[in-house]
Amino acid sequence: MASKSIQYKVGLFIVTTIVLIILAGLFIAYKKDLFADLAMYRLQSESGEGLTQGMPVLFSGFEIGKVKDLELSDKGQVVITITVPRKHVRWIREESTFTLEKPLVGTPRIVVRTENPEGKELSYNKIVPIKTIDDINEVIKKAQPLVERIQSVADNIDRMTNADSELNKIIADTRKMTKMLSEKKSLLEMATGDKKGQETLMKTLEQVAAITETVDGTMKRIDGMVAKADEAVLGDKGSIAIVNNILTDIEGKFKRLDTLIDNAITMSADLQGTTQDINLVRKEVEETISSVNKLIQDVRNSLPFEQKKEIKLP
Amino acid sequence: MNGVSWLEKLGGAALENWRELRQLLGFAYAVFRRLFSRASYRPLTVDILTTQIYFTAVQLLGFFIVVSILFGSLFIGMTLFVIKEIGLTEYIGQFIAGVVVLEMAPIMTTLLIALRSGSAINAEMAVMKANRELDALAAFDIDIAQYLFLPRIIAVMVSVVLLSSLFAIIVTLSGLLFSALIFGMGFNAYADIIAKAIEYKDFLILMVKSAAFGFFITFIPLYYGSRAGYQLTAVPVAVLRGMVNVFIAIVVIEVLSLVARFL
Repeated sequence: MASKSIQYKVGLFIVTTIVLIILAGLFIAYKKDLFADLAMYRLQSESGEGLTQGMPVLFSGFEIGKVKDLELSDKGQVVITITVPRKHVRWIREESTFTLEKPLVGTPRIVVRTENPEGKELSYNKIVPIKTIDDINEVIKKAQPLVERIQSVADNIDRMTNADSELNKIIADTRKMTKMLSEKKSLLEMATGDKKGQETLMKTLEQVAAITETVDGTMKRIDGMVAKADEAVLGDKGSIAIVNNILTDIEGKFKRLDTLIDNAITMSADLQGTTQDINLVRKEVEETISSVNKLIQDVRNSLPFEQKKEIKLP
Repeated sequence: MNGVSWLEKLGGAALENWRELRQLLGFAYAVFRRLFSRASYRPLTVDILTTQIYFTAVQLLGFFIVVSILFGSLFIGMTLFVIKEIGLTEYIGQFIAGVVVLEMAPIMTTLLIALRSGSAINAEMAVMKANRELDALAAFDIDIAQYLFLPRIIAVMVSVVLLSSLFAIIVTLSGLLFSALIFGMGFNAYADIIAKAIEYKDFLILMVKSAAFGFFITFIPLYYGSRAGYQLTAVPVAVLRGMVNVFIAIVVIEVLSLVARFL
């Protein structure tokens, strides 16, 4: 038999743990307002779609109540009963608006909006209509044109892929062609349907190959000649080099000639000056001679010497 | 010929496994029925049950609380940090209720108890079989399912249920510390979030799941231990087979519970 000590420890463990579990459960129940005094209100919707029991009632994003019950009225409308703990009743006023929001992501909820928390409290007997904001339907509405477009694309694909479509004909032709290729028929034979045409083409191609070979040889010779011409014209001792040397020489000579011409121009200027001077001297000499002649004439006139016309030589 | 012999081997193995599974489930059903029989609860059975709870839960309690605080706090702290980083703060409650209370608490507890008590029970049964103690009990027409199996199974079931709940409470409380450090959240705000996220059915699922874990992590070692050979060398083989099957049972129960939750 288990000792008293073991029995005591086991008993203590079981009791303590069970008490802890019960306390945790009670705490959660308290936090879930299970023991709270609840106020009930009634709302009305055209449809019960998206409404479920236990759905949260939110004010400013904070859960203040739950949907307790849903029932169909005599007029075919859905009456929603919500419960709100007394501590949150101040947010449920007569002028409060209730909206059923069905977000694209997340669960649907009833959102309460109250401008004046000091207003008159909503009565249970008053049934307030509820508005609906359906994000999913909005998205569907927006996506409708896209869906139609996709449908049209799908129709086109369908048309393209049906048995009589052009695409299928192309595929069939391709298949036929592939089959012919696999039977080793040439493209020319497939195109003309004549086997001789292929042989003629082959002969022509052989001739073309021979001509190409001859042209290749000629081209090689021309290449050799061009190389030699290149060497003769562009090489170190080629024509271009010689012409270059000659041009350099001529350039040197032209430079020297320029100097000579400059000197000649200077000398010509000097010579021109000298010529002018000689002209002046000449003029002076002529004037002197004229003066001397005049003087001689004057002397002759003044002196009574006859001039012997003839001089006798010894 | 080779193909046929390969197929024969495969078929033979499948049939053998199927026979074994049927025997195991049949025996499990027989033991399960005894759980609800008043005749099963004799003073001796209660005495063995008390001792087994002591070995399984009370002796483990100190270590278990330390592991819960350390591992739970670390896990919850890191996860809350990630939740904050990716901007999913509003899902803290669902995370703690769904992951910590319903998944982590029973799995951690089950693994600890299976490693500690499951293997011990398996070895104990295998040694009793090798020493022919089980044959002696049978010779005296003592129902081993009632005398040996039932008290141990009930003890482990009770232990797993209580320790899982304790683990959930400890980790949820450590979540309070980290939510205050990471989000600057007060006690009331944290308690509101947790209370709104946890449903009463979560408690029920936790209890049922823990009880199922407790049943199989005890029954399977008992079953394989009692089917061991008469040689002492058969003891480790029986323990090995028992513990591998315990692991498979844990995975199967976890998968079934997830499927049940989302159906």
